Amino acid sequence: MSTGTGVNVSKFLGYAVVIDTSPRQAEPNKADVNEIPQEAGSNTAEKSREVSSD
Amino acid sequence: MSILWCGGEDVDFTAPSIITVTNGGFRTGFARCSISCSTRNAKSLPFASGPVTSAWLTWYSFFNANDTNLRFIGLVNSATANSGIWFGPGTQSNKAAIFKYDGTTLTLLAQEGGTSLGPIIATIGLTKFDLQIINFGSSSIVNLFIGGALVISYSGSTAISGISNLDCVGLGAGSGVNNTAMSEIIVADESTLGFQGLVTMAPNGNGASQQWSNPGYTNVNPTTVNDANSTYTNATGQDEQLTTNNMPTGIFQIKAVKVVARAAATSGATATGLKLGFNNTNNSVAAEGSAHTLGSGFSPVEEYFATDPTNGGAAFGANLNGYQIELRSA
Repeated sequence: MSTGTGVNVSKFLGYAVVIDTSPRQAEPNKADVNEIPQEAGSNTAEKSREVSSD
Repeated sequence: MSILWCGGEDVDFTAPSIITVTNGGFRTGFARCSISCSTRNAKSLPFASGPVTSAWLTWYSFFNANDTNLRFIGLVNSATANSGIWFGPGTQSNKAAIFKYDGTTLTLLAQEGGTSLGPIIATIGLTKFDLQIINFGSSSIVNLFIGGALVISYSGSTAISGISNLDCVGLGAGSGVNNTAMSEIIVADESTLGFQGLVTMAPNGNGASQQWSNPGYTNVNPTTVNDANSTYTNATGQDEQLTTNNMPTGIFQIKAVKVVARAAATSGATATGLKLGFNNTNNSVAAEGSAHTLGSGFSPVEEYFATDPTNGGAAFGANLNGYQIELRSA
């Protein structure tokens, strides 16, 4: 176990975000941040109400 | 169209109470652990590009618990006690739900009619989740996809008193360790449905340059943070380079890379800043981001790369095998 004067780094790593190579992903505007993709139908049943605080 | 944030280990969050699970519940080859936070107060760093009112959040997780009405993961406001929009189990443990949380009260916005989280007691295998938030505020849409299928579409107010936007990831948990493990967490300003995931590039060997003290890669690659052991230097411009694991097998392309360190600088030191980057396969080009000024307490430092800085800003290819990640003191 060791630390020292100056800059200390205790954990260090990288990440790579990997995405499909399909045409859909080559055209990101096909489903941008404000577009709702047409996937399986919604089955939302119950709506807003307070529940017990966690 | 860009990545706002990504992460999947304790190093990516500011709270010290992250639970790290290494015995399953994550995709081997992509991640080396999963995480949760039983105090539900863990936050990522704020998005470098600023706060948002619309975004996508994706992650992998599994459930093996009989929890109801709990916050597991969400997009929150960093200036609050994790106020924001959350995913978790609803009034039944097997019903996926979306909530808003104002720091005190958890309000169910909508839950699915089905039971995507499993029969009777919530049990679901490792699954990809995508949460889409559109126009956070008085007139919003929140969609939840599980395994690529839309299971909740909420339209209405998501307004929370005191905040007008969301700027970081909030991490919560179920009632027990290993019940609600999250991994491969990504936030983007475009659809994440086609995102395959997040590959952890953990140090697995010493690289081309070892100019720091205590330089061995094992001193900075723990799965669980250990601030009692560091690599360190008090001279500026010093490089510390480490090799990382190869990418998993698959057909994909790299959209962005993040390099993250948990770092601190001692008071009054000569070196008080840190640059993060990497060098390319033959170590001919090293490139880092800008210098980050460090505080005296350990905290995350992040750098994002949308293109390859070692290759003239070209797009990343299919893998980063052979690249080394780099620390440079400043």
